[in-house]
Amino acid sequence: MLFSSMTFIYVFMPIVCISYLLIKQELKNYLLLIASIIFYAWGEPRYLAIMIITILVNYYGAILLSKYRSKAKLILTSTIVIDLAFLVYFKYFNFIIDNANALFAMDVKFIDVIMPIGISFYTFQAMSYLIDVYRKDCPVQKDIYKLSLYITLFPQLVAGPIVKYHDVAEQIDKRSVTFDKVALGVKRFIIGLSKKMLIANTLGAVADKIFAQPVEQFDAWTAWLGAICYSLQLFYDFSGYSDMAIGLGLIFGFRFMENFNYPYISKSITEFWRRWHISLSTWFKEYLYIPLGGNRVARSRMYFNLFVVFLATGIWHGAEWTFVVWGLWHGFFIILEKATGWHKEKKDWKLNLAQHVYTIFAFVIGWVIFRAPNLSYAGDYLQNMFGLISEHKIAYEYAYYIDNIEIMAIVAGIICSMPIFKKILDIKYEHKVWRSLVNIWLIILFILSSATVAASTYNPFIYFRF
Amino acid sequence: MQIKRKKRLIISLLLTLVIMLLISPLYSGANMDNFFRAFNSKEVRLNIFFGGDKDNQLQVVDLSKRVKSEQPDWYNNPSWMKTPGRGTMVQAKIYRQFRKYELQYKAIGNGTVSIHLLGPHNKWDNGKIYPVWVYYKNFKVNGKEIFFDTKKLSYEKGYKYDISLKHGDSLKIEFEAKRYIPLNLISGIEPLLFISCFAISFLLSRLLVYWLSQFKIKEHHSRIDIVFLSVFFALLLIPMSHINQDEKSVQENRMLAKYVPLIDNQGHINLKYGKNFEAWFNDRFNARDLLTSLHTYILFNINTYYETSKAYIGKEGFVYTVGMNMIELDNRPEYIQKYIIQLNWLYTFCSKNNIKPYILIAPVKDNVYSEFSPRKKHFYNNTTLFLQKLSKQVDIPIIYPLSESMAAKQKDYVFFKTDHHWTEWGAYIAYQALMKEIQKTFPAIQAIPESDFNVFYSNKVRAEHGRGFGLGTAKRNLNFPDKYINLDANYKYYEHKEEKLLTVLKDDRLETKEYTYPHGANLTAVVVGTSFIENFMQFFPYNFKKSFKYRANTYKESNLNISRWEKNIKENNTDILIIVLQESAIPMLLSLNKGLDDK
Repeated sequence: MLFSSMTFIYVFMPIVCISYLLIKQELKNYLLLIASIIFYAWGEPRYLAIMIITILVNYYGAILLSKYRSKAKLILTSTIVIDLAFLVYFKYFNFIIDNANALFAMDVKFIDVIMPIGISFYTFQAMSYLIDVYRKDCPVQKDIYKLSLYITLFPQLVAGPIVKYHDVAEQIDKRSVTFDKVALGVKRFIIGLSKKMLIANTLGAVADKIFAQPVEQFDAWTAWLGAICYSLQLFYDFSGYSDMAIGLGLIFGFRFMENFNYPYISKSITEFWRRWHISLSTWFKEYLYIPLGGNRVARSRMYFNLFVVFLATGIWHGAEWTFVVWGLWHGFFIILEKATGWHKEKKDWKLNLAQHVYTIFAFVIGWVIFRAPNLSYAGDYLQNMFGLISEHKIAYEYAYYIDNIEIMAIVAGIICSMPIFKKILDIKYEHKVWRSLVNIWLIILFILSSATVAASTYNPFIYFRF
Repeated sequence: MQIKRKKRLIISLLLTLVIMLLISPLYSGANMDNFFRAFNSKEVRLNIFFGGDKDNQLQVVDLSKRVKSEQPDWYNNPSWMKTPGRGTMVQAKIYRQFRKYELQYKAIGNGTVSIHLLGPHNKWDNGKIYPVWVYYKNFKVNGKEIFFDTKKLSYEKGYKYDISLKHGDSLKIEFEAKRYIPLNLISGIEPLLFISCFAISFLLSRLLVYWLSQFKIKEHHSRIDIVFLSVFFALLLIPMSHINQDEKSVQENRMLAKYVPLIDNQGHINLKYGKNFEAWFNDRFNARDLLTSLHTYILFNINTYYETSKAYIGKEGFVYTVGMNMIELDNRPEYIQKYIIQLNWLYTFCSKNNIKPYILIAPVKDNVYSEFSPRKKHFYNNTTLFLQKLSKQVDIPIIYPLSESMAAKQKDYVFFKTDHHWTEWGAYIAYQALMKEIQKTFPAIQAIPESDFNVFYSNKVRAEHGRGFGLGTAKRNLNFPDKYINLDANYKYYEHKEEKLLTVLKDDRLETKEYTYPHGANLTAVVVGTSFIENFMQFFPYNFKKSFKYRANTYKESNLNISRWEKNIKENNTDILIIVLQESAIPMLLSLNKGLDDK
């Protein structure tokens, strides 16, 4: 089930939220667990089994780990291997076969498999629990319902944020649902939904149109338009989902970590990764980078550690070479910044501006690689952006790609990617007029977003394709 | 404290009223719309204007009971009509149930009759017309079904239909009508149910208001946020509050999804319950039309043009269907060779069976009316060049009447504004071009002149196999309010004067037709193609004693694989085989013989 569907917003969410607010405290976790299972099984109930196996493996793995401390490393490794085996099978198996076939001239058949929704997120959450228990950061969770709730919790199941066990363990045991949290949660949810429906989807349509065409059929300006629209789409789509997740979490009394902090205002790629998908970057930092030695090692080893982390980051995002190259692209800039000190705060405004420009170029080019269907297309697209394509066969007038609503979305997207309205939800009670205006604006945004969701259900039938 | 209690009581009562309105179908069998439109309709009104000459008039032949037909002075050459002529005003008493009405007239004079189906003409004291609705259905003119489904019409929002008549022609108008009953809310109230609903609504409202007020009174939360959350959760409940029970959506031209239970009668669990539920809810939630219209309205008013994933609207109400646009064909020899292989195979197949093949390519609307299209391509349309190259290397004549269509659009619409098909006029132009080519081999066969047809105009679209009139596929795909689309276009339609002599055997399932016409040439023709053959066949069958129409794209299949009709083509002793495709479907020619790909 998607957050941006009529069924979620207007059936699932009201039923779950109202029931949750009305039932007794001791039943709240059970209700959330049932709701999360229904949410997960909604589209493809068969894959619920994978999730149940993951829960059982990690539940018993952690118990064994705490019981037999002398063999903790072996138990930890075995459990993580099982966790990752599912992820590799469902997400990377065909990719591995494809490359093995190409490399060794083999003819191994692809497997017919659909990736279970959210598997990358809940696998990492399960591993987080296990590692936390191994490190004795948290006690083992003996209540299987509570562990199940942590792994399946529906607000962050599909698109994060990846909640680390030590951040949420206490909240699963005890949390308070207050009026203020609910009000703030609803507001965050509306903001997230609006980001997704009004900005991300609008700009996504522009990017889709451009990226669907052969590169020679559009000029450099259009290529930049596509790259910028996609950069904004990705940010608003992903941060919109995170906002909705954080908002829903607040309604249920949880406080999840922020996942985005205005990443596009960064002055270096190092800073970018402190602001972009924070839950993933901190996950890799805590569970991969630091165990590898972090930066308390020789410089060359640190660069290697960074290389490994960004290779893993790229692979985590998907089973395509474009993702791998995208991860390494970011890794390259981070290593470069570490080596040159370019990411450090500069006092000269000209250097600051140069830092901003450099960062924007770096991540926008990165997103082109990320979005392209393959590396060859990405290369051609980048050449086009920099005017390196000699002969164009321009297909459409500019108006085909972009109209007033898309221009508005781009302007809104750029403005809102800066921390101008950061405090909009923190207006104090005394400022009644401003608070009322914000609330009215949020209701309008909710209605507009709902209209966009509803419009997607309009589906006229034409079988006369010609 | 006393004041606060009063406040809460008043708010509770107001909320009760809102709930009572929302749940009115539970106790009255009526809906909200009725409540606000508290005027009863007792009669229908038809205005029929026979334009063309000031002496034109319709002579009454027969009228149903309860029908009154007059020719008032104010409707005699009225200044507001574009042409001179005389109008007839019809009024008929209507009832709670549908009743059938028939009106028969005889035309005195030549011209066009405009029939307006309206509601009664009632005015407020200040002279403004107040809206009174009437239900119409099953509207036929001279036996031809104009619409079957129920329409709600008023004096200001009526339905217009035009037909050309000659002196002495008869005009038979049939329809069914019934009252729109707005006062059901009160008249149909079940008192016991009403009291129960009111009591429950009031108790619920009171509970809710008191519960919400606790946040302010005891916990001292922001009243602004209390109102905000109340509005938010109230909005969340609206789509679930009423489920549309219709079986079909006329606008979307499809059956609405049905509810499929989680566990069926035999105890089997439905593993696709989630998907089934979403399909069902997405089709039926409350305020769906309102929300989709809001989305459309915003996009239309902000953007310079409006598009959906399936259609887009250009200038002057021209609507274009996505997928029916211009196509860029690869002109490289190796790609043209693929077509040559297919067409050579077809030529050989036809030669073996003594058949003369032809290919008629219909230009796409974007090409003929590119000036209205917002998606006008910068570059060439290379179809002409592609077809020229192809023609040089195959023995099958290929007709592509682009220039003829461009010239013909100056006279009448060659394509419908709200559909991607050509009009009958557009098809007639292509038909003439094809017949010119056929005449080279069969000198006796020539295009039938326009004078052999009765020509009439309509603002409705007729393009598909069913031959019914509608608004057009592109319009439907656009989900766009009619008021923003200029539907005033009049399209030229043809009916052969000897249509009664044409025998048509239909197979609606496969969308095939077999035509027999006694005055045609002693030859058999087979036409295979996409939906563009439908209007084309308005002319073609009158040239041959026997002809057949086979649709290449039906509900189940969409390809030109000749093996589908090979047996029929041979058994019919076919003399002429014509393939009719539109430009965007040219790649379908690569499926004439799929087996060739494997060789």
